Amino acid sequence: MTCLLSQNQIKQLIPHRYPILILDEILEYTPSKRILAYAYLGSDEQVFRGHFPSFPILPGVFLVEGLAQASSVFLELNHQAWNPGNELIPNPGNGMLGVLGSAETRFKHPVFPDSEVFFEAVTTREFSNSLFMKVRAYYGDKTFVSGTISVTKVHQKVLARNSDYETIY
Amino acid sequence: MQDKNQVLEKVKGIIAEVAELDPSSIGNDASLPYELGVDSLMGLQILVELEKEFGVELNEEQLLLMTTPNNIVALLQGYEETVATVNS
Repeated sequence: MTCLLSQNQIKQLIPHRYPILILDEILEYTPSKRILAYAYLGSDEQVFRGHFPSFPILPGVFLVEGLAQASSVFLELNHQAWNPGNELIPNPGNGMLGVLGSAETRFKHPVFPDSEVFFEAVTTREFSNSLFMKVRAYYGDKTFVSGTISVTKVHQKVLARNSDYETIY
Repeated sequence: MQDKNQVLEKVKGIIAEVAELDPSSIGNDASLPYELGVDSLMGLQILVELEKEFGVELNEEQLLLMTTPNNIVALLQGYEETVATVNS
Protein backbone atom coordinates (compact mmCIF):
# COMPACT_ATOMS: atom_id res chain seq x y z
CA MET A 1 0.00 0.00 0.00
CA THR A 2 1.27 3.44 -0.84
CA CYS A 3 1.17 6.48 1.38
CA LEU A 4 -1.55 8.93 0.35
CA LEU A 5 -0.86 11.43 3.11
CA SER A 6 2.20 11.71 5.35
CA GLN A 7 2.10 12.66 9.02
CA ASN A 8 3.08 16.21 8.09
CA GLN A 9 0.04 16.38 5.83
CA ILE A 10 -2.15 14.83 8.54
CA LYS A 11 -0.98 17.66 10.81
CA GLN A 12 -2.39 20.12 8.30
CA LEU A 13 -5.81 18.58 8.74
CA ILE A 14 -6.15 17.87 12.46
CA PRO A 15 -4.69 19.77 15.42
CA HIS A 16 -3.38 16.74 17.30
CA ARG A 17 0.33 16.75 18.08
CA TYR A 18 2.87 14.73 20.04
CA PRO A 19 2.34 12.84 22.28
CA ILE A 20 -1.26 12.13 21.27
CA LEU A 21 -0.96 12.22 17.49
CA ILE A 22 -1.07 8.52 16.71
CA LEU A 23 -1.38 8.27 12.92
CA ASP A 24 1.72 8.11 10.74
CA GLU A 25 0.10 7.86 7.32
CA ILE A 26 -3.17 7.73 5.43
CA LEU A 27 -3.05 4.80 3.05
CA GLU A 28 -6.47 4.70 1.43
CA TYR A 29 -9.35 7.14 1.11
CA THR A 30 -12.67 6.80 -0.65
CA PRO A 31 -14.66 10.04 -0.36
CA SER A 32 -17.58 9.79 2.07
CA LYS A 33 -17.11 6.02 2.36
CA ARG A 34 -13.86 4.78 3.89
CA ILE A 35 -10.43 5.68 5.19
CA LEU A 36 -7.46 3.52 6.13
CA ALA A 37 -4.66 4.89 8.27
CA TYR A 38 -1.43 3.40 9.58
CA ALA A 39 0.72 3.79 12.67
CA TYR A 40 3.86 2.19 13.95
CA LEU A 41 3.94 2.07 17.73
CA GLY A 42 7.55 1.75 18.76
CA SER A 43 8.84 0.62 22.12
CA ASP A 44 10.02 4.20 22.75
CA GLU A 45 6.43 5.53 22.89
CA GLN A 46 6.08 7.26 26.26
CA VAL A 47 2.81 5.55 27.04
CA PHE A 48 4.49 2.16 27.26
CA ARG A 49 6.69 3.41 30.09
CA GLY A 50 3.72 3.67 32.40
CA HIS A 51 1.25 1.17 30.96
CA PHE A 52 2.65 -1.04 32.34
CA PRO A 53 6.28 -0.82 33.52
CA SER A 54 6.62 -4.56 33.85
CA PHE A 55 4.37 -5.51 30.94
CA PRO A 56 3.99 -2.78 28.31
CA ILE A 57 0.78 -2.82 26.29
CA LEU A 58 -1.02 0.02 24.54
CA PRO A 59 -4.04 1.35 26.46
CA GLY A 60 -7.22 0.56 24.55
CA VAL A 61 -8.23 4.21 24.57
CA PHE A 62 -5.22 4.96 22.36
CA LEU A 63 -6.61 2.61 19.73
CA VAL A 64 -9.99 4.34 19.94
CA GLU A 65 -8.21 7.69 19.72
CA GLY A 66 -6.38 6.50 16.60
CA LEU A 67 -9.71 5.54 15.06
CA ALA A 68 -11.16 8.93 16.02
CA GLN A 69 -8.17 10.69 14.44
CA ALA A 70 -8.59 8.70 11.23
CA SER A 71 -12.27 9.64 11.23
CA SER A 72 -11.46 13.31 11.86
CA VAL A 73 -9.03 13.32 8.93
CA PHE A 74 -11.77 11.66 6.88
CA LEU A 75 -14.30 14.33 7.88
CA GLU A 76 -11.87 17.08 6.90
CA LEU A 77 -11.03 15.47 3.55
CA ASN A 78 -14.74 15.06 2.82
CA HIS A 79 -15.32 18.75 3.59
CA GLN A 80 -12.53 19.68 1.20
CA ALA A 81 -13.92 17.34 -1.48
CA TRP A 82 -10.32 16.12 -1.63
CA ASN A 83 -9.16 13.49 -4.04
CA PRO A 84 -5.75 11.80 -4.18
CA GLY A 85 -3.36 14.07 -6.01
CA ASN A 86 -5.21 17.25 -5.06
CA GLU A 87 -3.61 19.99 -2.97
CA LEU A 88 -4.65 19.96 0.67
CA ILE A 89 -6.25 23.01 2.18
CA PRO A 90 -4.61 23.33 5.59
CA ASN A 91 -7.15 23.48 8.38
CA PRO A 92 -7.32 27.23 8.93
CA GLY A 93 -7.21 26.90 12.68
CA ASN A 94 -10.55 28.60 13.08
CA GLY A 95 -11.17 26.89 16.36
CA MET A 96 -13.08 23.93 14.92
CA LEU A 97 -11.97 20.62 16.40
CA GLY A 98 -12.82 17.08 15.33
CA VAL A 99 -13.67 15.22 18.50
CA LEU A 100 -14.94 11.83 19.47
CA GLY A 101 -18.62 11.89 20.34
CA SER A 102 -19.33 8.30 21.24
CA ALA A 103 -17.69 4.91 21.08
CA GLU A 104 -18.98 1.39 21.41
CA THR A 105 -16.00 -0.85 21.04
CA ARG A 106 -14.79 -4.30 21.89
CA PHE A 107 -11.14 -4.96 22.60
CA LYS A 108 -9.95 -8.29 21.27
CA HIS A 109 -6.15 -8.39 21.32
CA PRO A 110 -3.50 -6.30 23.08
CA VAL A 111 -1.05 -4.15 21.13
CA PHE A 112 2.53 -4.64 22.27
CA PRO A 113 5.48 -2.30 21.65
CA ASP A 114 6.90 -2.27 18.13
CA SER A 115 3.57 -3.08 16.52
CA GLU A 116 2.07 -1.92 13.27
CA VAL A 117 -1.60 -0.99 13.40
CA PHE A 118 -4.06 -0.23 10.61
CA PHE A 119 -7.01 1.98 11.48
CA GLU A 120 -10.04 1.51 9.24
CA ALA A 121 -13.23 3.57 9.39
CA VAL A 122 -16.26 3.06 7.17
CA THR A 123 -19.16 5.51 7.09
CA THR A 124 -22.51 4.27 8.28
CA ARG A 125 -24.18 7.72 8.39
CA GLU A 126 -22.86 11.09 7.31
CA PHE A 127 -24.09 14.49 8.42
CA SER A 128 -22.65 17.90 7.60
CA ASN A 129 -20.41 18.06 10.66
CA SER A 130 -20.69 14.58 12.14
CA LEU A 131 -19.98 11.04 11.10
CA PHE A 132 -21.08 7.67 12.41
CA MET A 133 -18.43 5.11 11.55
CA LYS A 134 -17.91 1.38 11.75
CA VAL A 135 -14.32 1.03 12.85
CA ARG A 136 -11.57 -1.52 13.26
CA ALA A 137 -7.93 -1.42 14.31
CA TYR A 138 -6.02 -4.45 13.11
CA TYR A 139 -2.89 -5.96 11.70
CA GLY A 140 -3.11 -8.88 9.31
CA ASP A 141 -5.90 -11.13 10.47
CA LYS A 142 -5.63 -9.93 14.06
CA THR A 143 -8.26 -7.39 15.13
CA PHE A 144 -7.22 -5.33 18.14
CA VAL A 145 -10.48 -3.44 18.52
CA SER A 146 -13.70 -3.09 16.55
CA GLY A 147 -16.97 -1.28 16.98
CA THR A 148 -18.70 1.96 16.15
CA ILE A 149 -17.80 5.55 16.89
CA SER A 150 -19.12 8.98 16.09
CA VAL A 151 -17.00 12.06 15.52
CA THR A 152 -18.09 15.62 15.18
CA LYS A 153 -16.59 18.99 14.40
CA VAL A 154 -17.33 21.50 17.08
CA HIS A 155 -15.90 24.88 17.95
CA GLN A 156 -13.58 24.92 20.91
CA LYS A 157 -15.71 27.64 22.49
CA VAL A 158 -18.61 25.20 22.53
CA LEU A 159 -16.47 22.60 24.23
CA ALA A 160 -15.37 25.19 26.75
CA ARG A 161 -19.01 25.87 27.57
CA ASN A 162 -19.64 22.12 27.72
CA SER A 163 -22.86 22.71 25.87
CA ASP A 164 -23.77 23.05 22.24
CA TYR A 165 -27.48 23.71 22.54
CA GLU A 166 -27.11 27.01 20.78
CA THR A 167 -25.44 25.46 17.77
CA ILE A 168 -28.35 23.23 17.00
CA TYR A 169 -31.62 24.28 18.57
CA MET B 1 -49.16 3.22 11.80
CA GLN B 2 -48.57 2.17 15.32
CA ASP B 3 -50.72 3.61 18.07
CA LYS B 4 -49.54 7.10 18.94
CA ASN B 5 -48.92 6.18 22.57
CA GLN B 6 -46.83 3.19 21.54
CA VAL B 7 -44.76 5.41 19.26
CA LEU B 8 -44.40 7.97 22.02
CA GLU B 9 -43.15 5.33 24.46
CA LYS B 10 -40.65 4.02 21.90
CA VAL B 11 -39.44 7.55 21.20
CA LYS B 12 -38.99 8.22 24.90
CA GLY B 13 -37.17 4.90 25.23
CA ILE B 14 -34.71 5.95 22.51
CA ILE B 15 -34.19 9.37 24.09
CA ALA B 16 -33.69 7.74 27.46
CA GLU B 17 -31.10 5.32 26.13
CA VAL B 18 -29.08 8.00 24.34
CA ALA B 19 -29.35 10.58 27.11
CA GLU B 20 -28.97 7.96 29.86
CA LEU B 21 -32.22 8.87 31.56
CA ASP B 22 -35.08 6.96 33.14
CA PRO B 23 -37.81 6.82 30.45
CA SER B 24 -40.48 7.43 33.09
CA SER B 25 -38.83 10.74 33.95
CA ILE B 26 -39.28 12.10 30.42
CA GLY B 27 -42.34 14.25 29.93
CA ASN B 28 -44.15 14.27 26.61
CA ASP B 29 -43.32 17.92 26.11
CA ALA B 30 -39.93 17.96 27.77
CA SER B 31 -37.39 20.02 25.85
CA LEU B 32 -34.61 17.78 24.58
CA PRO B 33 -31.89 20.42 24.73
CA TYR B 34 -32.97 22.40 27.75
CA GLU B 35 -34.57 19.83 30.04
CA LEU B 36 -33.08 16.52 28.98
CA GLY B 37 -29.53 17.65 28.25
CA VAL B 38 -29.50 16.43 24.66
CA ASP B 39 -26.64 18.01 22.71
CA SER B 40 -26.25 18.06 18.93
CA LEU B 41 -24.40 14.76 18.63
CA MET B 42 -26.86 13.05 20.95
CA GLY B 43 -29.61 14.51 18.76
CA LEU B 44 -28.04 12.88 15.72
CA GLN B 45 -27.77 9.60 17.61
CA ILE B 46 -31.47 9.83 18.44
CA LEU B 47 -32.18 10.56 14.78
CA VAL B 48 -30.22 7.49 13.66
CA GLU B 49 -31.98 5.29 16.24
CA LEU B 50 -35.38 6.61 15.12
CA GLU B 51 -34.50 5.71 11.54
CA LYS B 52 -33.64 2.16 12.61
CA GLU B 53 -36.67 1.71 14.84
CA PHE B 54 -39.28 3.16 12.49
CA GLY B 55 -37.72 2.53 9.08
CA VAL B 56 -37.79 6.21 8.14
CA GLU B 57 -35.29 8.59 6.57
CA LEU B 58 -34.67 11.79 8.45
CA ASN B 59 -32.28 14.67 7.80
CA GLU B 60 -30.51 17.35 9.76
CA GLU B 61 -33.15 19.97 9.04
CA GLN B 62 -35.73 17.72 10.67
CA LEU B 63 -33.48 17.45 13.70
CA LEU B 64 -34.31 21.07 14.38
CA LEU B 65 -37.97 20.05 14.75
CA MET B 66 -37.16 17.25 17.17
CA THR B 67 -37.38 19.41 20.25
CA THR B 68 -39.75 17.30 22.38
CA PRO B 69 -41.02 13.69 22.37
CA ASN B 70 -44.41 14.91 21.11
CA ASN B 71 -42.74 16.85 18.30
CA ILE B 72 -40.83 13.74 17.27
CA VAL B 73 -44.03 11.70 17.15
CA ALA B 74 -45.66 14.38 15.00
CA LEU B 75 -42.63 14.33 12.72
CA LEU B 76 -42.83 10.54 12.37
CA GLN B 77 -46.56 10.65 11.69
CA GLY B 78 -46.01 13.39 9.11
CA TYR B 79 -43.34 11.25 7.45
CA GLU B 80 -45.70 8.27 7.23
CA GLU B 81 -48.50 10.37 5.79
CA THR B 82 -46.12 11.84 3.20
CA VAL B 83 -44.91 8.37 2.17
CA ALA B 84 -48.51 7.13 1.94
CA THR B 85 -49.45 10.09 -0.28
CA VAL B 86 -46.46 9.55 -2.57
CA ASN B 87 -47.25 5.84 -2.90
CA SER B 88 -51.00 6.28 -3.48
